[in-house]
Amino acid sequence: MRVLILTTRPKLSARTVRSWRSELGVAKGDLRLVAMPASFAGRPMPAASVILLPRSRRWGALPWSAAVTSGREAHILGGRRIPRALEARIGRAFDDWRSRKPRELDPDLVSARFAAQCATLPQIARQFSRADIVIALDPGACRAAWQMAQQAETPQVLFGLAAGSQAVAEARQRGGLGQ
Amino acid sequence: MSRQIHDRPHALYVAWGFPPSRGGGVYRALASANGLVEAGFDVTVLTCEREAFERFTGVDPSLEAAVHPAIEVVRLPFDWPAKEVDIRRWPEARAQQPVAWLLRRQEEDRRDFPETSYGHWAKPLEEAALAIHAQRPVDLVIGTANPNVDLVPALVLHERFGVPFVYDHRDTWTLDMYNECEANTDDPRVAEIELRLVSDSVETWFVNEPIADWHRQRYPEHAEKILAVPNGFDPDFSPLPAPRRAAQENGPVRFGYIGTMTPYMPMQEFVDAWAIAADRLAPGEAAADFYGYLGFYGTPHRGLSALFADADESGARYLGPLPKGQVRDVYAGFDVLLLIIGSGRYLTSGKVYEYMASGLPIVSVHDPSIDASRVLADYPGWFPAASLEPADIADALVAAAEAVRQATLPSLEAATSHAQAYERSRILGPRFDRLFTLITGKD
Repeated sequence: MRVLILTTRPKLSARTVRSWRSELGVAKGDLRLVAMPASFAGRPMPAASVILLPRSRRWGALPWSAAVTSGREAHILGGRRIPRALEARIGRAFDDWRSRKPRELDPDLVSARFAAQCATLPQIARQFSRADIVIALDPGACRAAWQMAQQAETPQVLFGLAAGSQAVAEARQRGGLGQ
Repeated sequence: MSRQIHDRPHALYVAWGFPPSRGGGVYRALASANGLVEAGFDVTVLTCEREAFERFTGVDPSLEAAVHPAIEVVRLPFDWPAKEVDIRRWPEARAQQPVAWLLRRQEEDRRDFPETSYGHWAKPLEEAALAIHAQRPVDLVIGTANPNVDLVPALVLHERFGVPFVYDHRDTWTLDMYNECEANTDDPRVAEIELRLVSDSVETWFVNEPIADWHRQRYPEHAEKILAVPNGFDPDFSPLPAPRRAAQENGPVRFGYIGTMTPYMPMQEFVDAWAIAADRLAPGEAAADFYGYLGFYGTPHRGLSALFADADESGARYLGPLPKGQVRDVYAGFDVLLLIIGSGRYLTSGKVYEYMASGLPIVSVHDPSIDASRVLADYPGWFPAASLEPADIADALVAAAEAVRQATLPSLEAATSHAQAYERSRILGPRFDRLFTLITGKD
């Protein structure tokens, strides 16, 4: 059972991703995440394999903590590496500040940028084609999900976590997908 | 306009939700359509296509077998984009701007009829009703709401051909039952249409006296035609009275709930109370099993899913939806039923009647002032929570568990004989007989 979540939520935390995984009822190795957060709290990276996309081309478009963890749990595309010592000193404070005052982009622009990156990066296309179920978690991720869905007849492409959980449960009931 | 009535007059019954839909209102619709046939009508049902139920509300295929074979069922396509979660089915414009697209769509829905998500069905319903009437003149229309758009055929056929109709409301349109205030005041068309429905109908039905009373006060000049027609229970689908558990029988006392669980119900209060009761009872002495859908729609409600995930350790388990065909067997395994209903004095819940049919003891987990308390007041084996405080609910749970353990419950016969008055055919039958007489002039 391979589930791919697409999300443009500005905040992302390991705890949140764990709760998604628990609601879906999939193993850690079976959940892939493509996200474009403005900040996220909690290290190490979430309980899933993650591709993080920069929200803009600005320096610091990726959360600091995300950049630091790139060599381990997260596969990060774009953004800049932050020295670990500097991150340890001010990284959390910087992310907290960003989450309080996110220099948020026009939602339409976020959705368009997310879709454009999903359409061009082969890593994401591969994840999409290998998934059994793709979940666009928020309205900003729908454009990317729809565009990728036009390229192939599978997998199932759904909006919302509740719909995703139900699809996972139904697939298990049918016995069509492994645990 | 004078119309020739055949030996068997033609009734058009309009219900968005009809078998195989598994929605709560389906049982009233099914019983009404079958009841009309038994009362002497030829019946055409105008409803929604199967696919909409399969995709959005969930289905119970066993219900379709219960539709009287003489009934002609006409199904219309129904589009429900707000519930469409399959992004492959979305138009590109929606994928690009999902929120704006939905808002625009909601406006469009309300253009012909003031009801979000359903208003767009008004035109297809109108056309279908006119086609049915052209094929064989309709002598009576019954429209059952929600959705209120189900009353469009009644309005159209009454206006153009003088066909009498019944306005049957399982819910309310201008009354907010949960907040006990006027509802849908932002669109004046709602009040205008409801006034037409009440004033032009031969009878207007609501499911309990408090709701009927509210409407009598709102439309005093039509008060005499506003009736309370409770849901009652269907003997074919309700639990059979099960023998009482013997004193000192081993195993936990099984509390049970079967039905749709919604965010309006005091589920959190119950879960908190269950934890308190579990502490007061011996370990393993009681268990609570919940069957049904989480939320009104096919997609489970997230908050309720999370609630049960947390409550599992205390012995309260969520076991998923249950086909109606298995309901009796599951009821037979319960010792006590949990009646959990949202707050509001206008609420009865159709479940009350089904529960009473079982003869099992009932623990009420709802505001004591709601209409369900009136229905249950004389039911032998009723354990009402004094309030929705978890401690009060726990008291009721413990009292019921002890009564089961010590076999001190009132007799099964006393409980089931109380329920007989609420058998659905005893409630609907006289109404359909009266309508038959009204239409044909025959008894």
